[in-house]
Amino acid sequence: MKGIVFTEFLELVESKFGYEMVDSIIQESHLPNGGAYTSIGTYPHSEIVMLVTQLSHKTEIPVSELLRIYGRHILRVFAKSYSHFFEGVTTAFGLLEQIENHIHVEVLKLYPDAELPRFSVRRLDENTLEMIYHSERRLADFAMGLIESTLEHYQEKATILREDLNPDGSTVRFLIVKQKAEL
Amino acid sequence: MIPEMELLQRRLERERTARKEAEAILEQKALELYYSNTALRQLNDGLEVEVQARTRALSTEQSRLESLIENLDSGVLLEDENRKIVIVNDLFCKLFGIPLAPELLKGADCSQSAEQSKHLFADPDGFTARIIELLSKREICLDEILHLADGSVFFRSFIPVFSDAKYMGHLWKYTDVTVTHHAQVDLKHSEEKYRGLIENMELGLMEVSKSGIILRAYPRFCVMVGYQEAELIGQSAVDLFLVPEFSPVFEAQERERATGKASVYEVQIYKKSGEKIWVLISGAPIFDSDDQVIGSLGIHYDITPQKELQKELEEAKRNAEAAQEAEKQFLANMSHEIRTPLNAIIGMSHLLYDTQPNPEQQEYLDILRNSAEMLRALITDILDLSKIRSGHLEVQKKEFDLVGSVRTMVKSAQLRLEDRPVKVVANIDPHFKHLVLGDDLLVHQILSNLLGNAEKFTEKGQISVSLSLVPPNATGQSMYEIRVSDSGIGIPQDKQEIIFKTFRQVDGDIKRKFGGTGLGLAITRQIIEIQGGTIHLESELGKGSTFIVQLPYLDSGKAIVDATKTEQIFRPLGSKGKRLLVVEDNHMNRKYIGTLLRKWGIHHTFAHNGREGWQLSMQEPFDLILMDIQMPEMDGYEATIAIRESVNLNKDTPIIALTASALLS
Repeated sequence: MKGIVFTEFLELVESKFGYEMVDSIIQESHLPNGGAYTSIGTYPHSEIVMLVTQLSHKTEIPVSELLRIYGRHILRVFAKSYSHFFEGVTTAFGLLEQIENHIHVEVLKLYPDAELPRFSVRRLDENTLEMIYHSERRLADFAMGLIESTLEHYQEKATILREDLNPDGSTVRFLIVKQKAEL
Repeated sequence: MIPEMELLQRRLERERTARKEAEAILEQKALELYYSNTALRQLNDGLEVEVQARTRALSTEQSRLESLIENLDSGVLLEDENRKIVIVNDLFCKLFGIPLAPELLKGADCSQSAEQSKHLFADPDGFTARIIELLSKREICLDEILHLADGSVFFRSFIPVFSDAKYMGHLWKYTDVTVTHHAQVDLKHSEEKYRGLIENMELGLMEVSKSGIILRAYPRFCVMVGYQEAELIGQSAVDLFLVPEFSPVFEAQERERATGKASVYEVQIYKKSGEKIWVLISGAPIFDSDDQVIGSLGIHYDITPQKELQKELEEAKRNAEAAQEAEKQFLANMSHEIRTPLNAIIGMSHLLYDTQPNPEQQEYLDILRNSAEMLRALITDILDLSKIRSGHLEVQKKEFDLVGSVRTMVKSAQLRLEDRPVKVVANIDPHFKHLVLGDDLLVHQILSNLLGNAEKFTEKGQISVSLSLVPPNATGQSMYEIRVSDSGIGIPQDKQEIIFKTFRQVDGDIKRKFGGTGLGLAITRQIIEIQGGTIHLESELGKGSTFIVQLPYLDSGKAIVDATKTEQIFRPLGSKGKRLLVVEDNHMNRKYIGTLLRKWGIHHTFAHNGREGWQLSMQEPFDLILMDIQMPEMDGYEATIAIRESVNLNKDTPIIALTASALLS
């Protein structure tokens, strides 16, 4: 998993709960590298799971909620750091449709070792987008946060219906139904 | 609660570790970047080299293409999709009278060019209209014929250019074909002219394919066979026209034609009406440009009238031949029928001399004998003449001894003239050593006639016979020359030609005084001329005559056999006591021969016909058989064959033919 996920996560924890909380979850997690992350490095996925689990434990906020919050946060980071992906894209659906065929393609050019989730995106009608998430990392909540934040970024309102297509949560269907403006 | 310091320390430691890790990663990335850059540069260098090579190749290709277009024997113009000139060659400029160099025209607009050059064409508006049509249709069009106002002829091709279905422009190609076009037109006219000529010559033309299917029938042929051309096309010529009995002829002609040979033949064919006509067909194969036979052309000439005439002529000829054969048979019979009693008269008159007649009877006998012999000579001559005239005289070509023949005849004349003061001499060129090729019997007849003539008109003096070789004449032929000279009464100049005509003598007195039929010299001349020889006369009245005969004999190259040996073969029968078989059906002849043989003391037996002669020959050996030819039951030829071919006592006995059938040689 890319280092930015770790560094941004720890930044978010620090900003919300202070560095003491950061230090605490690192210490409790007994990480091999002692919690020294750089955004350009690559680290095992299990470490973020441990860190999130520890944070949940400490804050008594469910893991799923934490991941969703983190998802919302990281889109804002992306919009700042990788603004070129947003150029020329004027709607949330437009951006979501570009993830699989454009953004992920570009990411893999820079980081050939990146392990990315797969999205099948289908626009069912003008206001409805179907996104099927698939990843062994089972981070659908993180994806949920990202989708919500994308809608916010474009100042659009939509209902997101989530449906797990298998028990382990590795394949999840999101149905995004945009609310018509000024109902 | 963690002390502040401890927390800071751990944070610092984490930050440092992360920084170091980041630095290591960045270094690693920088290195990777360096290698990537190097690889990229190399790739770039390689690409540049390749691009340069391709650019050069492209440039070479383009100049080659330009040179090719420049040197084409057609005017070429390539326009792009906006009708701007991409390339044009010099010949194009020349054909259209454009006074600019081709390279200066690149990029020029062609949208008005048709309008500008239309005046060059015989049909200017048609030219521009067609250009517009071609441009709008954008379809390939090859070798359209264009006639120019000055009489020239161009071929035009239009080729649209597409790349991935996108229209990129088009190519115009103009070729000046004036010379070949006119040649083709001339050829076509000439062909039509000759075809027309043949048609007007009443010759019917028909073209058939290799398998005999009619491809074209010309008007005259249609008239000849009574069909319309449409009825003939596509039909089998053999099925329509062939008269079955001529199948083999047609098949043989088919084979000839397949080998590319022309030939002429005559057959009968059916007309539409079922009527048959005779045609003379001259068939010739038709070849394609690869010299392969693709069919044949038959020229038919209706020869039905000629064939009918020919048939009539053949009929007439057959009739004439039959008449001639009948005449010949008549003459043969005449010869036999007249000479048999005549021989009896002569024979009997000879016998009467032996009966001691008184002087008056002697005189009557002389007249009787002379008249009979004259009659016989006349009959012989008339028969000879008719034989020559009817073309029945056959000239033999065999080896014979000319010198011997001359000597024999001279010897005979000497014997005949023993009791007259006439000397007979032979002057023979001693160089003659070879037998000649010719007809000995005819030479004998010539000499006999000429010597007889000389004897008749020479009271005293000399008769000479000379034989010499005349050097080759213009045709390279050596002539044997026989001169018969006498010191007789001679022939006046104005009569010298007459004597060679039939029944003509110098004058009536001669006839009265010397007798003769007046046929001898005419026959002699004809016999000589039949052999390709000549005869002429040199004579002076009162001094004598010389007959000069030239005959074109060939030297056989074989030496003359010693004469003494020949003599032994013909030694006289001689002594008494010999036995003779005489086979003769005629009573008078039997009586005459019997009287003579008795007189000579020769024992003899008579048979009355061939069969009896053959039967007698099986019972008794004879020394000689005298055989008549024309006899009832079995004739002389059959009897001779029977004696020779069967087991017979007289198998090797000499048989001499006795006949009055002078015409049967």
